Amino acid sequence: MVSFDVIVIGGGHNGLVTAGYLAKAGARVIVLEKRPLVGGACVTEEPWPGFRINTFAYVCGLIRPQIVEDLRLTKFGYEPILYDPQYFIPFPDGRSITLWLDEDKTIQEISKFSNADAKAWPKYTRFWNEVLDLVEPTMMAPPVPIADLFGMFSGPEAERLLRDLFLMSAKDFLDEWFESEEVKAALATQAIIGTFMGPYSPGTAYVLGHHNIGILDGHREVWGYSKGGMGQIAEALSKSAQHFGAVVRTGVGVKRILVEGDRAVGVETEPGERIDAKIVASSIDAKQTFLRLVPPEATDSDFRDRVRKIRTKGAALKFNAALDALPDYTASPGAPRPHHNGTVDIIPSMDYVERAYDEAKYGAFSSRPFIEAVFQSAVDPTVAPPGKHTMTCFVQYAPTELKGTTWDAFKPKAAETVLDTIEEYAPNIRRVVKHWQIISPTDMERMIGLTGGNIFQGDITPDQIFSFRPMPGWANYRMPVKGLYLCGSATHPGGGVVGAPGYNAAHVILEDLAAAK
Amino acid sequence: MAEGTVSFDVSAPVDKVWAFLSDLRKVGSCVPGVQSVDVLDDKHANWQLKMKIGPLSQQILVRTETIEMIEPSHARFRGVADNMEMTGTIEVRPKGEATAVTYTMAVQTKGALARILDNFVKSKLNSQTEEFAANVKRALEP
Repeated sequence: MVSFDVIVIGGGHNGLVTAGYLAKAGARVIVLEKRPLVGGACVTEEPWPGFRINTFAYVCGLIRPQIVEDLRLTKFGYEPILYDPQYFIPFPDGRSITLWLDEDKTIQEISKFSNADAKAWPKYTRFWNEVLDLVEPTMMAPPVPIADLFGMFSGPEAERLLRDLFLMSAKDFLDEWFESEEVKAALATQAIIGTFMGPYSPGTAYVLGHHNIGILDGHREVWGYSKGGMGQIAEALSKSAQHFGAVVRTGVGVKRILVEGDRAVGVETEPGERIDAKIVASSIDAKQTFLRLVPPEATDSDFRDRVRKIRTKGAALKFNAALDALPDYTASPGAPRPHHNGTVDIIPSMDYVERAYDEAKYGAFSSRPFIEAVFQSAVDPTVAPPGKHTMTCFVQYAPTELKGTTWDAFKPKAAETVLDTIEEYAPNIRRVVKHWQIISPTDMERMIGLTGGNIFQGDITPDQIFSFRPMPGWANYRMPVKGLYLCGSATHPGGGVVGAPGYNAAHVILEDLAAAK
Repeated sequence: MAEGTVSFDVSAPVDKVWAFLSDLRKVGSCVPGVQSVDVLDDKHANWQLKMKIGPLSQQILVRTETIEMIEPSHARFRGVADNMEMTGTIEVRPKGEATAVTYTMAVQTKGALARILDNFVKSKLNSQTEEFAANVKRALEP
């Protein structure tokens, strides 16, 4: 029988962050990953020879700089690439907006649509910069009740911020800042990514904020690529954890968490091996942990009922492709062009995306979805054969369950919808796509255990963040079974390749290990 | 605990620098966020600070006590506020015709929000001590 201080279930980025910090502090740690490669949703795979595809997560920028530094990730192979422009949004009438790193260039772009909006832009970015000053320190610490957090402050400015961030829809929020529908559409993308809500839903302003926390290369509110693909982040985390003494095993799923009395004492792997530990830290989501791995008798029925009610609906699918050439957008003809460097969003208006959500609400894949595409090969030639390109599209809305069919049966039709939609903006798309794959919400659950295909392990809406995450009363990473912790995106501060949940959980575990001595 | 240290040279003689730094009202005008300093006696003072974090601001009352004073080279003080305690030192020594100053501030946060407050303070302390240094230089240099 093998014994460790801590077993980490799941070798996603958060599990590896937890393992890295625990091992660095001297704990004996083992990470068990079901798939043959580490990373969870942060992986790069080669479905077609020479094409390295980010199967799930596709851009970096959210991972906290402190984690990169503490775990020496650049030494272990993580190399971020800040891309410019950040966004290109083509419109059906042939116009487009490009959002650059350079503020003056962006203002010039916005002024094509509205001088008032161009004037508002610096104030808008300054607003998010200040919010980041406030939010960032809360990320790398266990959550405190929102009421206590806001109790630190008083006055109209605090009241207004509470209203803006936690109560408003992205539409209402953006309406207060800008007048141009195109400008608002361009900014609304980050408010709905991965969330089964439309921009008219209250709470989506917070989602917008969550996606504005990126820091790369000294720039704030930005996105970039991980050179070689997102999997390089996971590989660097794995190498770091092993450097500090952790054992990382792939191809080993966990069948059950072993509970004796009121305490987790280890796991039984799918091949039937028993591994004992003082602590079990699960980086998979709360539903998978408590409804699949923990014996039902170890928790009370009220707790399990609350776990079932965590909102984990899927919102999107991935359309990944190998390309013979880059798509040629009517709104800015030619390829390659600078706009291929960054994110290309098909979101002509907020009404468009709200209508896409309306269809999904009733069980249909959006007939005209919101599509966010990136072509990493345009700036990172290591991910495609010479002269070829990769495309990965985040396509929304794709509900967890399709009415009248299954995702496996519907994939060819979904692919046609994606290509039809892109074709309206880039007529050569069908000619340049050589291979494609769809990763549906069903695949996301099947492959990496994201319940319902929810990429955040639970929506990051105001009712499921801070001390409400994964649910009220259980937000400090410690769970009702002694010795069992959650350390993944299901916990504060939530999803995305951030690493903060893993960091916070590791520090709580270290406190408890020290107290137990 | 968050700590910030800044060392800087002031183009002024030691006596002048020391006289300035031991006058709490003058020092108060150099500490970022200080709105008023109420000197109670030769060791105690109440400081009203406005701390800005992102788009929000908070009023803080800090009660300070000078716990060590060796003229004209060294002073140590401590301060207490609702959610934090702080200790600071100022070292002053001649450097040619100028004066070398080292200012250190350590902040220990308390209460339910301690860890988050600690992160707030860490994110601000270095820039605040540097701003303090710049303000002192501006006040004393010709």
